[in-house]
Amino acid sequence: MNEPFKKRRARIGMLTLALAGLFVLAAIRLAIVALIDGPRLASIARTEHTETITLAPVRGPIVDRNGEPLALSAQARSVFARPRRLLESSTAAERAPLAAAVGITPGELEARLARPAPFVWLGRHLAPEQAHAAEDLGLESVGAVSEYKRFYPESNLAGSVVGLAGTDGQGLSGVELQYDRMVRGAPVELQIYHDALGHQILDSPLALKNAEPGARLELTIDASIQSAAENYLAGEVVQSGARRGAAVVLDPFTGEVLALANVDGAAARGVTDDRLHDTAVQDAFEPGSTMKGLLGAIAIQDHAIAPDRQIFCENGEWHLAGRTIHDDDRHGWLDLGGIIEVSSNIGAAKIALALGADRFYDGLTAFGLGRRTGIDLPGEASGLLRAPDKWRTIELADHGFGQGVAVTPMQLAVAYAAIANGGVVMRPYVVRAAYDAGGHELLRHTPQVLRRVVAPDVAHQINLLLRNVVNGPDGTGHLARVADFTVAGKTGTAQMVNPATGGYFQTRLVASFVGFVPADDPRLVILVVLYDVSHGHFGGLFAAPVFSQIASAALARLDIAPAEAPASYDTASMIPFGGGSGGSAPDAVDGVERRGSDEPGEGSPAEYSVGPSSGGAAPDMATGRAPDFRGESLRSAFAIARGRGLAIDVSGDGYVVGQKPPPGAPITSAPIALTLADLPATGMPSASAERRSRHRSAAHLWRASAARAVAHPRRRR
Amino acid sequence: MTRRARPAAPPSKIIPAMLAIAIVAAGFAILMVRLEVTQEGYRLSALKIEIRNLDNSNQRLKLAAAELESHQRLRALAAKYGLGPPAPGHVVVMP
Repeated sequence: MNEPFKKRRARIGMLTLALAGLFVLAAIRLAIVALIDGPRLASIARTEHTETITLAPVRGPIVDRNGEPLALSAQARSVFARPRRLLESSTAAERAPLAAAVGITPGELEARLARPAPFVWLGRHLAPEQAHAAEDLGLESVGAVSEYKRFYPESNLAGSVVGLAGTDGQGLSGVELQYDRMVRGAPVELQIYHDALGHQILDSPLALKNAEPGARLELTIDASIQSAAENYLAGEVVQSGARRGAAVVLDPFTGEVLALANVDGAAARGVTDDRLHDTAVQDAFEPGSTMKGLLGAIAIQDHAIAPDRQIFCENGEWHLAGRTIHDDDRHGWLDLGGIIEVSSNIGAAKIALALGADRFYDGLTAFGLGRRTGIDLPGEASGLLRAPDKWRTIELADHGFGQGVAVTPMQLAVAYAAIANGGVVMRPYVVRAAYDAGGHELLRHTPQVLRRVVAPDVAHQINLLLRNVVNGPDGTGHLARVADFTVAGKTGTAQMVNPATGGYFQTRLVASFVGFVPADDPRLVILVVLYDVSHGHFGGLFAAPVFSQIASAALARLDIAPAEAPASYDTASMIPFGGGSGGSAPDAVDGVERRGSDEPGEGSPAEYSVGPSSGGAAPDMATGRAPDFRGESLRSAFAIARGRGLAIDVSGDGYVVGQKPPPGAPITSAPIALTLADLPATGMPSASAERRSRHRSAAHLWRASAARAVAHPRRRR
Repeated sequence: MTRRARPAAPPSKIIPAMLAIAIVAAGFAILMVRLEVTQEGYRLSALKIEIRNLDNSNQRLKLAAAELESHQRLRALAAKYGLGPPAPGHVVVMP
């Protein structure tokens, strides 16, 4: 091998080694770039070519049971600024149009820009035109983003149930809060490629993804019934001067809340708007005489008294444990039905004493008092029901007519629903179902039985007794009547507790009525509560008419037809009312009169007997002449008609100011139409003062006893 | 006597040429596909924006419809035109 060849080969070898070394170095560098610097470099590359877009979540719609939207979301634009850069790059004069575009004053704009923050909102949820106007100004560091804004197309309808969502899309109250995680939805971040001009290039199926919308909530609320409830309740709140009112409409057999209305007195007068507070669920009140229906059910269930047992009601005044319990009227011997019908506090107190603290307490807790109902709304109150070992004798007696106990409207409605449905306490609920964006069911609430509280026959007995409150001659709830339907219910009037003194306000009352309709086949339980009304505003006078109005609207809405045959039940006091040919023929029990002495012997069954009424056997029907109703109160007119076997048709409130046919005119088959109105101070010109004083019963006594009840802190009606 | 070796035949240039053409064609095809993908990306982007705008319009229209059908508004209109619920006796229930 010659020398030159060797040299050449050596050079080739060195070159090869050098190249191999370079390759090794390149490989090492490649490894460093790929494995060590890779993530950082990839990130830099991504920022050059891609941008991240966050798609705001859409809150799911909230609809009523028929699909009517109560809450919807729609896109809006929000304008922001970076204060320091904006202040450096523009003058106050140049920024003035920006303030106008976003709808704030220049001073307010400057104040926001003066905040020591790198980012400030100038306007949230603006109309697209406003946002475009702000962007078109071309100011540096001013931009806009799309957000979803919550709208309530029905305004405040069912506002306390639907609740409120905040500016940032978070639930604040109502089902918006209770089901926030379900309704809120989930935001989505997208990595979008863009070109040098910033145009998006969607080159991945992932980029087509939308934000996950929130669930669609379907409520049990019926918007039409809700609207009627709010409308009638607001009217009564304004008329009565109440501070606020609440109404609950339940399906007694399922626990579905068909309407839950809260009307603030100020809002009803157009002053404020409050979606954050739910009086019907969060506020407790003393139930007053509405407690007597529950007391009666517990007493019968526990065999503490027999329904026909006579109880002496002390002629309106009873001294017990150093205190005096009053009734509004003087009552002698009454059975349970009579006690409930005339709302005797003394009778209720005696039943409570006969029942005993422990058994009464157990019954009340079984009805759901003192514990949350479990309704799917936030902030539910549990009311107030102290342990029975703390009850003194007078407190036990007081609890019998609803004093010293506090319930929420929802608790009371649920308790009466148990009477209506045969004795079962149902869990109330306002959300029926939830669906995802694809329509798949995420949640469904079904009726949930919590417990049986009384036997069906006991519930039925109380059902019958409660009808007398509305239909009986001495009942306190006549104004709750619904044309063509039988109503069962109970009035309640309680003085408000004065938290400053621990006693009761003398002239501030809570008036209520709770009942169900049709009584024979209860489909609706309705509770109406008016808070802080002045004296004289009894539950029967002010809450009962609202019950009637709501019930009428709800029955029509639900296509509930009256029974073909009138209900027959064992009441001695049902008389034809509200017109109709059937009303002129009283049934066999009509004409039963209370004839016993004030103090019969124990167990004497002869307090009621069937026979001609004191008014004689329909003398006016015999003579065919209309009696004179003018100047009479509703109750008094009622008694006259009952005594004479006449059908009457009543319109208005107060006292009879007109009748057709007129007094002495021949009676036709049609009911006698009576027009009622408040009497002028001078009284009725055609009705003598003697006659008015002779017929001081009924509403006369209501009103007269109102003053007495208000004057004494222990009165309940 | 020495034999003179025959020179080898020059390698064919057809195969490299075809390979080159194939590579260029493939590159061109890839380029065209990428261009088409980019164009489709632009189109999809525009469609996506249009869909979002239509969705937003749909939401606003639903909202407007719901507001027009609101009970509060209908109740006010009913009062304006003298409409109201039927009075007792005005509804006859057919058996």
